[in-house]
This record gives sequence, structure tokens and C-alpha cells, in this order.
Amino acid sequence: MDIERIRADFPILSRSINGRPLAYLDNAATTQKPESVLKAIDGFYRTSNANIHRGVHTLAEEATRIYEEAHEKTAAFIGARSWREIVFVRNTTEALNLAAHSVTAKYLQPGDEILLTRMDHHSNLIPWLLAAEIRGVKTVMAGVKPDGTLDLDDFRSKLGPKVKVAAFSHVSNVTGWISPVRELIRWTHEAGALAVVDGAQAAPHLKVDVGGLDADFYAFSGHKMLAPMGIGVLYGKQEHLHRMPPFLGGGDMLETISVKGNACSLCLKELPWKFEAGTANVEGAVGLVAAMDYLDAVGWDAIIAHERALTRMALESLGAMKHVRVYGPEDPGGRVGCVPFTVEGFSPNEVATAMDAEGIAIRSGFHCAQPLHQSLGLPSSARMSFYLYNTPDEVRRALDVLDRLR
Amino acid sequence: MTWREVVHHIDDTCGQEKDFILLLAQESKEAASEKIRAALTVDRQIGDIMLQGKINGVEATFFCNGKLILKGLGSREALETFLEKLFG
Repeated sequence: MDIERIRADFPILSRSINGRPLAYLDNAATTQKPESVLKAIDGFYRTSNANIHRGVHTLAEEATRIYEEAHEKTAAFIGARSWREIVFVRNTTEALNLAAHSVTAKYLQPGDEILLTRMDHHSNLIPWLLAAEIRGVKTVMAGVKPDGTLDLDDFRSKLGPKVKVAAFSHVSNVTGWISPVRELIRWTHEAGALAVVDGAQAAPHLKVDVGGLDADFYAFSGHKMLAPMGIGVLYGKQEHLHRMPPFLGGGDMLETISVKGNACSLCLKELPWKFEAGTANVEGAVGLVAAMDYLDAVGWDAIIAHERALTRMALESLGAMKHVRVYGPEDPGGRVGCVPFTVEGFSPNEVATAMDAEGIAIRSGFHCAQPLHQSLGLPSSARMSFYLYNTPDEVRRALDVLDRLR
Repeated sequence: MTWREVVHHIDDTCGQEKDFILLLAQESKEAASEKIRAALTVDRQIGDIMLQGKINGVEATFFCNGKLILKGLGSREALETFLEKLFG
């Protein structure tokens, strides 16, 4: 992989921060955008901008075709059987809120259980907790092991007969741990429950095949994989999406509404439109397609190998620093390029601000995963996260700052 | 000079520690930095990156890029009282 050539595609990477070259190591939060994505969005507005599905004029037809093709390309990108299984949303959070609301409304009864995990991002916890409260459903929580990875035995033991849904991450946004998602889904199905997977940290870093995984639902965000903010995806098996009620109501999700007196009857549009109320984020879909094309062109084997090499380098160096404690699995092959850590004598905010002073962007806080931090006995942590455009030199610069913090 | 003129942005961070991260306004950065340095009892200096210590009994870390982290203040009201005392 020619890193310098890749970096040349990302204009922002030539910036300086505080007089130092930017080293952007906050990719688990959001990623930078290549020229091809920026140009695709710009090109859409310059040549084809119109609202979709509501006009017979040429621009509306073009925009509609572009938007529908984006569903097709996304389906192919993640191995879905049909583009009708792809619902565009704002982000993973909205995707999981949709799933939680509509799955709970359709499939769960008071007394049923939803299995969650302490490893998960708030986006895959809070929507379920809220939906469970409304529906009178109980939630159960699988624990984590001391290294922050999911306790698989605990997960299996809690997959009892009352569990109707299990919601879990493919990859942890804190430790970068790659869960045995295929097994988690299989165990969930064996228990007679639906499997809802948060793929926000997996889709940018691994080649995802939702069909092969047999996930019932799989959610991810565009902005964490080079696409713009404001576009996300909920994949759902058609058999479920057909049965589920919409999460949002409004324009463009309805065939007809018939009013007789005070009675209204609705005829919803076919999939996926019944879940996509309101004006669509067409520019987001355009950017997502350009981002997926970019990642495919670089090649997944190369991306994975590159990130793994950076992660190995970081883990080995941090492991030798006695004042630094790293969390997550020790094997770089078992995680994506995401490394949480704490530094003795410095708060994570101090560490991140010190990095910023040197032009290095990392994140501090609990990364919207407070239950996991509580399990690890941490109020918060610092986190470096890598992507295809990061270099060993950038990682070395971050390690050098940490070496000075003692 | 009032603290509202000096402080460009306040970020109250997530996590149980609830640090406040203050970014100084560019136009008054030098004068504000001088006041901070004068008020800071330094416990530790990390190269040219940061100074750790206390300002009026409050744990503070001052960074070379004009950011100030304050720990343990607990509330926005306490922060504003602290800043009024420091900057006016």
C-alpha cells in the first residue's frame, strides 16, 4: 500500500496544528475524507441536485436514480441479498434507535427479555433501554472480562428462553476488540432470538458480509469510513423489515392516506422507503458510494494489514512504558486499530491536550461506553485509533509524547 | 479584562472527573497566559508542553497552546467564580 499516495488524497492531512504537522489518530470518532468523496458531493450539487421521488423533471429523476443506486451499491458492499434491505439513516445511533423501536414494537411482549452487553456503545444500549421501558420488557446485561472483552460464557448463559433480541457490537469502540460475531449471532438464533449488530467500528476496518454472518440487523455510519457525516445504514432482513412498523412518519414513506371522518388508514410504501420518511440525504448517499469505492480500490487485505502493523507497533511500545496502561486484547490480530490507555499521573484529558499541543489528535473521555469503563474501574481513558492513511511516523510521534509524560 | 473576554471556549468533558478545558481567546492569549503563569504554583513541568500545579487551590494544568484544564471544580458556577477571581 502506497501510504504517501493515499495521504495525498486527503487534503486535510496537509494541515498544521499548533505549528506541527497534523497526526490524526481519532478515527474511531470520525474519519477524514478523500478528494473523491469531496468531489462526488460537490458534483452532485453542481449537476444533479433535486429532491427525489417527487418530480418528473430530469433533475429529480437523476437524483432519484443516484439515490437508489446508492442503496444497490451499499447492499453489494456489505453482502446483502437485496438493496431493499438497506435503509439509509443519519448514523449508527439512528439505525439502532430504528431497530430498537420497531423490533420491540413488533416482536416483544411484556415479560420478554433483551440481552445487551456492558461492552457496547451507548448507541446500542440506550435505545433498547428506552424501548424496553415503554414496552414493559426486561433487559439483561452480559458482562466483560478484565481486559474489557465480552465474557462469552456469560453472554451464552444469559441467552435464556425469554430473550427475544440480543444486541451487541461486532467491534468494540473502546478496545477495538473484534468479537466472534458469527458465533454470537449463531448462539442468538439457537436461542430463538434476533441478532442486532452494531457494526460502526467494524464496517470501516473489516470486509463485512451480513449475509454470511446471518445478522438480522446490522448498523453502521458513513462518517467513520471516509463518507460525510449524516449518512448511516441499517441493514435488515426483508422478512423483518416487512413486518416492522416505521420509526419515523412523514413524506415519502407513504403510498396513500385515506381519511373518512376521523378515521385515517395508511398504505405504506415498499421497502426501504417506508423507513425513510422526509427528504433524503442524497449528498450523503453520494459521498458514501464514493467512500466505499475508495476503500474497495485500496483493497481490504492491504487496509487490514496496514492497520494491524500500526496497532502492533503501538501495543509493543506502550507495553514497554511502565507509566502507561493499555486496555483490550494483547493480540493485535484480535483488534482493529483502536488502542485505549491511561497514563499514571495524568488525566486522559491532559494526555489528549498534550497530544494536541504537538499536533496529534486523539480522544479522551469514556467514549460513550460508560458501563465498559465502570467494569474496567476507570472514570475515562485516552484512545488512539488508526486508519489507512496513518503512518508509523505519526504513531511514533504520539508514543514520543507519552514517553515524555512521566 | 474580564474572564468572558479572555476565555474563548469552555468544554466540560465527559467522564466522572468532569474536568473543564478552557481555550483562551487568541487576541488576549498572551496577557491571559501571563496571569495564569503568575497564579500557578507549579508542581511539575513536562518539557515545553505543560505545567501542572494549583491556582488558588484548584488543580490546574496549563498547556503551551493556551489551553487550561481545571479539575475538581464540580460545577459551572464554581468555575465562573474561579475565573472571576483569576481574571476579573
